[in-house]
Amino acid sequence: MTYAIECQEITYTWPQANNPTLTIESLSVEKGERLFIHGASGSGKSTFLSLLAGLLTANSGEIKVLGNSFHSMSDRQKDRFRSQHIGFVFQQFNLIPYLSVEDNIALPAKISGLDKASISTRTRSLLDSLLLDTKLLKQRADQLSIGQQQRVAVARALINEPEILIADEPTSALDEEAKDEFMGLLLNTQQRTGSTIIFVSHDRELMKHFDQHKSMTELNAALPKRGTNVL
Amino acid sequence: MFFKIAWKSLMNRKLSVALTLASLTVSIIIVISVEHIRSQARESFNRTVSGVDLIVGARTSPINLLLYSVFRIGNASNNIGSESYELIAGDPRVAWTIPLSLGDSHRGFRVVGSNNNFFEHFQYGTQQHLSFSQGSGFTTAYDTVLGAQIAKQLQYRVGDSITLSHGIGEVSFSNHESTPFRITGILAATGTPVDQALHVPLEGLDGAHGIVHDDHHEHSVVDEHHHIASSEITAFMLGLNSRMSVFELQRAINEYDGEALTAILPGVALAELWQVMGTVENILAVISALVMLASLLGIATMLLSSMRERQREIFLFRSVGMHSSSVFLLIEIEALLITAAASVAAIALVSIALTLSQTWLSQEFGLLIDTSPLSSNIAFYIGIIFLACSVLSLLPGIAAYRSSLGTQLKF
Repeated sequence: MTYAIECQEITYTWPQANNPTLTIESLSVEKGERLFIHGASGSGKSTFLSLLAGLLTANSGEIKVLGNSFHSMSDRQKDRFRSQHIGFVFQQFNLIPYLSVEDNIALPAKISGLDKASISTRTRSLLDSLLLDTKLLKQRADQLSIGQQQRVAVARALINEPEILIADEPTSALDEEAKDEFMGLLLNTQQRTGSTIIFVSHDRELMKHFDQHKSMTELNAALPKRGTNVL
Repeated sequence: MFFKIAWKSLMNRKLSVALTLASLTVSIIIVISVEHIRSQARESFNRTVSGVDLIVGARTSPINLLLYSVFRIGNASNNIGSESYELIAGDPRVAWTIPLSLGDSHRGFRVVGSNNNFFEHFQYGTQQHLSFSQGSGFTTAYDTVLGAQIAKQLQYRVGDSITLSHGIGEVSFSNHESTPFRITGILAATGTPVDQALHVPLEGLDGAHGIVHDDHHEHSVVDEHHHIASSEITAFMLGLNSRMSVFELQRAINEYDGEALTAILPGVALAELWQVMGTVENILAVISALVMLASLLGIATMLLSSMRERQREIFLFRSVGMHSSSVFLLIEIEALLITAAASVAAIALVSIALTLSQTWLSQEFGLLIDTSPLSSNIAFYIGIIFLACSVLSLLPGIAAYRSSLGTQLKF
């Protein structure tokens, strides 16, 4: 069992839609792999990531995450699985604004029942590797700069030491300089924890940081083929 | 963890939470106050007379007899002849009687003609006897004993002389000026209509009305036991040697051939009268229920409208592995925290207000109130409020649940 993610013949059609939004014939991601998925908006990437997270269920086909199929899980089991094995970093507004940085980072760990001492050790080591000052811990999340917020979001995504990190356009709100710094820190931290990273972005610039590249246009068979675009 | 998050989330929306809290607090204050007033009114109503076995008057409805004899509201249609009174008072089953002669007034306060039996036997509250705060009962026919509130309001003291007016208006054209009464005693406050009455001996009243008694100025009330006033009285209260005979005597009086009389058991008549007032009670209850409903809807609205701005937050909770039922729980806890805070604030405010106004109420209005609004009824209402609140916050809770279930990862 060396795959972090395996997808076979999956399709997803939004309720009330006539045609499937997403059709993926086959995709497998090895453990520890860094995968860059290029996709513009409307390419089905949101749907794809929701399926990977178990927030949506495929109409047909099978998705295995770390060898487990969401099909056989209850909602509660899915939530549990998600909090323990998958970390998320979103484009923006990753943090609960009224909670402190510390509480934000600790949230997934508390939900999965990690003890206080481990939470504190892990938090410190993550802050260290993301070059965040421990003085920030007591601050409200919404008092931080966007760059700091995104790094805190990475810390939160990794607190449970998940096998998989899903990052969706995490740099789109950052300027060029901050972008490079963020990518460096993210990938360093990822290397330390050894998690599989699935990084989705429309920004081809970032491709250079990754060993595997895929494009939604190749992946998603439900998309109209290039050149046959009705528009 | 949930409490901490719920608390911080509420603190994050201080203004709208504060407004909701204020509106809920005001509503709970209204509910508590209405309930407290109702129970206190009922209590003070029921404490107006006690220890009296029967009240007898000319034939009328029980409620009317109760109203004029005890509450001093309205007038008797007829008097009782002295023969009937003497006959019943002389019955071996009867231990004591308090004659009452009504119809005169002093500066708007009712005058009650009676005798010293009134101070000896009349009871109120839980079998409490009347007591004098100053002076004592009648010694001559032209003595008068004031209720606590009259003395306070008109600033009379023992030894002052006053004149009575015929009829019960504040201004009367027929004053009994030739026969002044001297104040010999002032009663302690009771919180009953006794506080608002002037008590004079029957003979003095007759004298003022021009019914001549021989040498009435020296006439002593002590002698009066031997020679009951020959004039008519309005009603009388009586106590029995044994309560066992109360229904027997009541029937005998109601069926008395010599004169058309009505005898009532004060407790029964009080209960009947309270039923009449029950409508008012219900109206109060409906009003407070509506106020309550309005503010509970306010809470639901507040939570519901906050749901839109909190969609992102709920989505984040879900993405870090919080189950949708936990999100639901979070919303419920927030609502219950607000309700708990509002209940505590309302009870505290009502208690403080009652404590501060207690002295003033009893001095100015002779109202004796309980300063603690806590009772099993209030606990019941608070329970209902909590229940209603958690039910109403199901709405935003369900909205939160739905929105998080349908959410895809938004990027």
